Amino acid sequence: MSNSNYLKGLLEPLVLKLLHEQGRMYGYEITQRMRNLTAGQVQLTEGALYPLLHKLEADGLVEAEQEMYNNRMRKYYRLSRKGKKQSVQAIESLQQFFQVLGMLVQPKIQAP
Amino acid sequence: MSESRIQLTDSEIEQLYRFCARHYVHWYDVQAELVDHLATAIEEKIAANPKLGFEQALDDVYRGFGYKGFAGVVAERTAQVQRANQKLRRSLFFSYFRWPKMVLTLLVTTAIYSLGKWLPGQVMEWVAAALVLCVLVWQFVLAARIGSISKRVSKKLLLTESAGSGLLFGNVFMQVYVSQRIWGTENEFSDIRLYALIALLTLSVVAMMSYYEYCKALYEKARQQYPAAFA
Repeated sequence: MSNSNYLKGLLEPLVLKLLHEQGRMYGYEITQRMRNLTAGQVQLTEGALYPLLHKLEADGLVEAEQEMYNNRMRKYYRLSRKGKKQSVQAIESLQQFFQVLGMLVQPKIQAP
Repeated sequence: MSESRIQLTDSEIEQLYRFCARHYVHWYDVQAELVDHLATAIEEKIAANPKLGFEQALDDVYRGFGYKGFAGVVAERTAQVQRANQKLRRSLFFSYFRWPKMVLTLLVTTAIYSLGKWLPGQVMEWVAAALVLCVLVWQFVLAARIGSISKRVSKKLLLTESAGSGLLFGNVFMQVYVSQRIWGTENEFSDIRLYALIALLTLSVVAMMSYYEYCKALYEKARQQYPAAFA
């Protein structure tokens, strides 16, 4: 099973976490940041990222702002107030989920 | 993030806009984000491998969008814009039934009710016809205003696509009033006919006013976010 299959459900909290840490980011920057942080193990496709960013924007979790960059328009995303709360909860949920996964993958031998 | 030293030319950026249009992305507000993504990725690829041509780099980057290409991005963006616009439209419509705009709605209903109670039946027939006519004329005035605002947009925007096609919604209430003979006999302006006029005319006015505000809000938002799309 490829990493992208594991990643599908985790994408939203991971993107929220990145935005929480970085302040504001544009789409391409998010894909590259994700790639660099995981040493290329996680490759976030553009086809998955933009629909997610647009969904987060529609849900009011992120706010977008446009700026001219060189000879083109660049759209930056940042967490809204609602998104900041949601990102903290999402990161906690993610950590709990990994602990549960750890219990499943490497169960401790119970003493009799 | 490190910035590449290569910078695409204006004509290459234009080429990217045309590339998006060829791949069924017809709206400037959707194209702009994709063009920046493609351009940044191409610049980085060429910086890493100067022998790589623009076209080859573009093909490589586009492959990153998967077998669906831009279709998934467009579908989600369309759904998001429609959802947000419907929410805005609903909110503006119902704002006329909440403070402070409710005062205006109450004024309209009270004015028609008072006319219906004070004027003789036959005179009220003519007044009702005149009110219906006024609403229809007013609809054309609002349509013309929206048309004049929309002319300032030089590029097609997904954000404003639904503006300008919903004014007739207000007209529906008037048509119901005009087409129904059940409101009363021909010689008498009955109470039921008066209440129908009040309800349908008020709904019609509220629908038209809120729709006009909705269109103005969309164009204003578009102007702030995408000034380059305005002439």
